[in-house]
Amino acid sequence: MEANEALAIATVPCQQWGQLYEEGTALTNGTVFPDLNKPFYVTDTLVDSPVTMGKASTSLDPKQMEREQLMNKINQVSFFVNDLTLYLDTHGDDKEALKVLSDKGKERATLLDEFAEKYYPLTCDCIAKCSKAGEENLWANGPAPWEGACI
Amino acid sequence: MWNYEKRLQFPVKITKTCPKTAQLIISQYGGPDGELSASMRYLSQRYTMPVKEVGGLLTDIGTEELAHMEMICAMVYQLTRDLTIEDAKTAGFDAYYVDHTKALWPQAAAGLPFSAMEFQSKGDAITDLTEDLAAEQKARTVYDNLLRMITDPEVREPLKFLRTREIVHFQRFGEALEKTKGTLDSKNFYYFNPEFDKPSELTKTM
Repeated sequence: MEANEALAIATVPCQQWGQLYEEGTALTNGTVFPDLNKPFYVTDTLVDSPVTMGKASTSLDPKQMEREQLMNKINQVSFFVNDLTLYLDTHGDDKEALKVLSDKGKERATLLDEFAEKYYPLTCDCIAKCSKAGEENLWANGPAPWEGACI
Repeated sequence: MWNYEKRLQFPVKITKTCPKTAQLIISQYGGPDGELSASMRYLSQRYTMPVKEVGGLLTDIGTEELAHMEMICAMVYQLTRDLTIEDAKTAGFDAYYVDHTKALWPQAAAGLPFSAMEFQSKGDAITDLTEDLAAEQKARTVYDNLLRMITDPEVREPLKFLRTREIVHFQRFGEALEKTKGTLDSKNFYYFNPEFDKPSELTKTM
């Protein structure tokens, strides 16, 4: 698909497939595409200390750190799936993008199952993957996502 | 049908109480260019979109905006979770506190309640996609303005993430407009309203 430039209507050039960020960088930057990463440089000097995404606080116990690491991995892979889904909404026949989406989608499914088995289900589809599904109300388990660092 | 996933799209972990910052950020919950407005705009516009992929894109972006709304609410919640009455009096959160205590309520930074008057669903694919392009830019400007005022890195990181998403969505809506233009006559894109006048002719070319 190519942009159709004409008078009296908006035109945006169509993005070409190119280099991708690796998972962690993609989530931190808010896009998997370096071509679309256009930061707001003017405020960079305001930042007093850089924050590393997914960095666990030192006061956490090892079990919670492990859980947060797995959650962070799920966030990263899921974000890749999100952003590629939008790309494919407007680039439906891009074979390279379809391949990456399919790989990341499989990885996400495996990670969600692992999280459900070890900790608690993140979606209702994961409940069935838990060995205790028939005995406990697992959907009520786990912290609310908005509680953040101070659980 | 929607399913809930028990996590935020991008982690929000704010450790310092700051009602003043909460009062600014709440605009991206219930303000004119906020995430609630964005989600309702796209999820309302999608039904009558003549190009199927564009309806799909509006669904996916409208869904992502709900996740952004949840992030903004989590930020407001964490910034005011340990609020004392002294904080509320000194940091300008007093008026909000009187009506809502520490609960979340969709309003603009200046106190105006959320309103569907802030977005449009016009029933013309070109008009609606042009509105969507503008909406993403307006939201980006709000994030730029917030980033100029807020210095706490725990607040800035999620705001920077959300700002980039506005730019990515702008690009996708631009491509959606190109797709829609591709089904129309480039000599006169305005010969008819693609959502109203000739829906059957349009479907044939897709």
